[in-house]
Amino acid sequence: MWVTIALISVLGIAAVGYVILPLFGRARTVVSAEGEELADLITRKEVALEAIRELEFDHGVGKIEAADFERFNRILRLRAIRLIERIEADFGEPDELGPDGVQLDEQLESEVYSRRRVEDVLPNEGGSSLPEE
Amino acid sequence: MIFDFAYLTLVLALVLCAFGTAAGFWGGRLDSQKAAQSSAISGHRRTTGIGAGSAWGDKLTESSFHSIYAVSGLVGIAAVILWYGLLTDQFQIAYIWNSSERTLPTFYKFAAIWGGQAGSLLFWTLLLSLFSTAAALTFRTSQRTLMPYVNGTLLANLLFFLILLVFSANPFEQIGLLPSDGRGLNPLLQNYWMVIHPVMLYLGWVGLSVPFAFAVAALLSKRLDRRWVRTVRRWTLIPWMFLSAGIIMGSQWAYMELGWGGYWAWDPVENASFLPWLTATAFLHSVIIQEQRGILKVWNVTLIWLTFTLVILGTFTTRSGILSSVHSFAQSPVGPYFLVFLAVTTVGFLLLLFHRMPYLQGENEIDSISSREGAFLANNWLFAGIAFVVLWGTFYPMFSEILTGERISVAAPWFNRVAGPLFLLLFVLMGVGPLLGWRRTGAKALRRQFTWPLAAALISIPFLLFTSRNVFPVVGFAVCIFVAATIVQEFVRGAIARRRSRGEPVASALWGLIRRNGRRYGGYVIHFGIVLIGVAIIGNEFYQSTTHVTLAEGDEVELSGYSLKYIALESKQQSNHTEIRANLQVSDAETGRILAKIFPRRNIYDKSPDQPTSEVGLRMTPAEDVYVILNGWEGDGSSATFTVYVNPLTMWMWVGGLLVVLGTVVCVWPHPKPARSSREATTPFPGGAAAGPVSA
Repeated sequence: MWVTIALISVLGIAAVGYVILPLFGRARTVVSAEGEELADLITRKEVALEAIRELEFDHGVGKIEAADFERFNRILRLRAIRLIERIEADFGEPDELGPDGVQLDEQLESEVYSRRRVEDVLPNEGGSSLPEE
Repeated sequence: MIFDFAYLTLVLALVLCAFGTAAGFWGGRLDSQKAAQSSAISGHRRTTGIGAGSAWGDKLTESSFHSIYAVSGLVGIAAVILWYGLLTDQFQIAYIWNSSERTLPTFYKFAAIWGGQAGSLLFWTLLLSLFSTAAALTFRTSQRTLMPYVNGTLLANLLFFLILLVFSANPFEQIGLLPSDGRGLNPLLQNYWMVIHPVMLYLGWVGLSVPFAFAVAALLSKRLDRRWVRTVRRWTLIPWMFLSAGIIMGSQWAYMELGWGGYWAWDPVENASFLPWLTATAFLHSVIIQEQRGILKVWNVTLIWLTFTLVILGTFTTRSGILSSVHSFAQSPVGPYFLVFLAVTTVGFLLLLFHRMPYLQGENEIDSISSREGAFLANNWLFAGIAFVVLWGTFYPMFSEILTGERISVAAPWFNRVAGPLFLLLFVLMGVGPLLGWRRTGAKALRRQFTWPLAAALISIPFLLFTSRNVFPVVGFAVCIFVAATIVQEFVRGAIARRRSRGEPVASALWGLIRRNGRRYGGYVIHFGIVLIGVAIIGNEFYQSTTHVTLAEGDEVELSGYSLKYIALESKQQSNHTEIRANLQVSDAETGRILAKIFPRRNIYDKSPDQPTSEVGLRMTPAEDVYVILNGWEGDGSSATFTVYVNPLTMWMWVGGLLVVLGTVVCVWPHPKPARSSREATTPFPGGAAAGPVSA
């Protein structure tokens, strides 16, 4: 019985010590609203790029008609461009992307200026401002 | 001594769990408050670092991580000690005395931990602590805002099970004397499928706590953007795969062991595993819509809560004994604990959901009903409808008893009649959905997409009419052919498109298609598996033939083109039971060619002689199973009574189950990701394990 109590006491002290240890140390992780927002924007950008890829694939296999493809492609690309722009404007200089990224970003960048005005009149996604998306 | 120590480790785990729960929620709250204050003060996102002011939030969160790891370790120690007790026949422990015996094969001694109430609760707690640890390790930095609440929710869940173990179902309770032998494991559980099937179900049920914890965390932290849904998709798919495998294995066990000729009886315990599967499947579809279009936010959090609630409700059903079932193995007074837990989680979640409604507004609308999201939405309604029907049928006997004093059972035909048409519609949608593109599919594209699959289905109908004049199986098979054709078409068109754009050979194009679009094509493999399961169900429901016969030695009986000859009755002593098996020769009734010898048998266990189990005699082929149950025999074996079934297409159910698992593996397998900028690579990434445009 005493051995059990001794063993569980040792284990208990070790376990409790391990659990409360962080309370006596320094805070290690700094959560920033900035980091959270950047992470959120990156997610949205990736979702938009994924949606473009899906749309292109669906069009390639004949599920989306040409007129619909044009329209939705324009909306999605605009959204991706705006997100990239915002990430760059709010969180720093543009930096290098890998091969896939370069291709897509170059395409998107070329449309930034020519299509920016269109966004206000687009339905659904395009019509709403970014924070409410 | 060692068992007292094991019990005390559970008590210690409970204390640390309670602390960790509080630390997680409190830490998350401090973080949220500080973030809100910082934003309000600075008014600019670039200066809203939480920093030193939230030091306590961070410390408490860190402590909640440590709590998860410590609780896992302590529960692990307790589980290892119980396994040690089972393997070394420590019958002074009530649980081991009740669930094992000296002559029980080691295989089953190991599995006995989930063969009874207290042991299975400990096993559940162990799995939950391991899932919690895995989630904590995976998302420790990438989901730093959500993790305090995720930890808090998972620890609260663990706390409930530890309370059960410490106060109501102690697996280390001692009986005060040392019996020479145990009472033995329930004979029905002494089957190889029972070693693996409950583990799969538990992995599925327990794993679904993680997406629920993320949903709660997203609601509490008000971070209801697309990040949490991207994060949990893979963490829902993996438990879903285990749950699917568990259900299929349970069906296999029922088919081989229960000996009533079928694999699914709409038994309350079967339904308990099926209900969360339905809502989890609906969630897996609807979460894609939220990810793609930013809609169905309320529906998705509700679905994942429903899934979690149905898991707990199912566990309550299995363990409380409120519903009679062929396999309510473990019954004890844990029911009220489950009811209180259910009530607390339900009320808490609904209040939270109500408070967060303003944050759950959809970002878009569905452009057209002829779109993939339209099909997914309809599929969700059907899943919800089927779940309601199954829930209603399962609990109707209980309600009828409460309201009228008379227990009215709802049997399989009712479920088949009501849920069957809904399943048929679901199958239709399973074919239609993949043919539609996101947002809108125009008339021309619809025509192009539907022509071949519809033609395949229509052409098959005259041939199907040769097999049956009943409209239901004909329509059912035609729908299965339609779905299978859509899947084949998807693969073919995808490969052609890829081949055209990249000039790859067909095999490379197919491989590349699956590698780059694992989520989509893994999903199609799952769909194909479900089609095969549907084919097996239709075959069994509408084409099964059966006879009940008593044969003297040398006598034959004919059924559906087979002739079965009773050769002799044999007896064989095994370690803890006696096998009585009939030797039957199966031959072609027309040609007389011998096809197989099968041995339906009864196992009479030394510890439970009044509870013989049935092991069916089976000849399985892709076309049909010859399935024989030994019902009884004359003392000397001069004659024996059998029930013989010819079950068409049953094998495809197990093949379909394998494909479902395989397809899920394809879905969750890490796929090549596009390169990301150096800044993105160093940012705590939102998607965590689910990151990347083509990942699940």
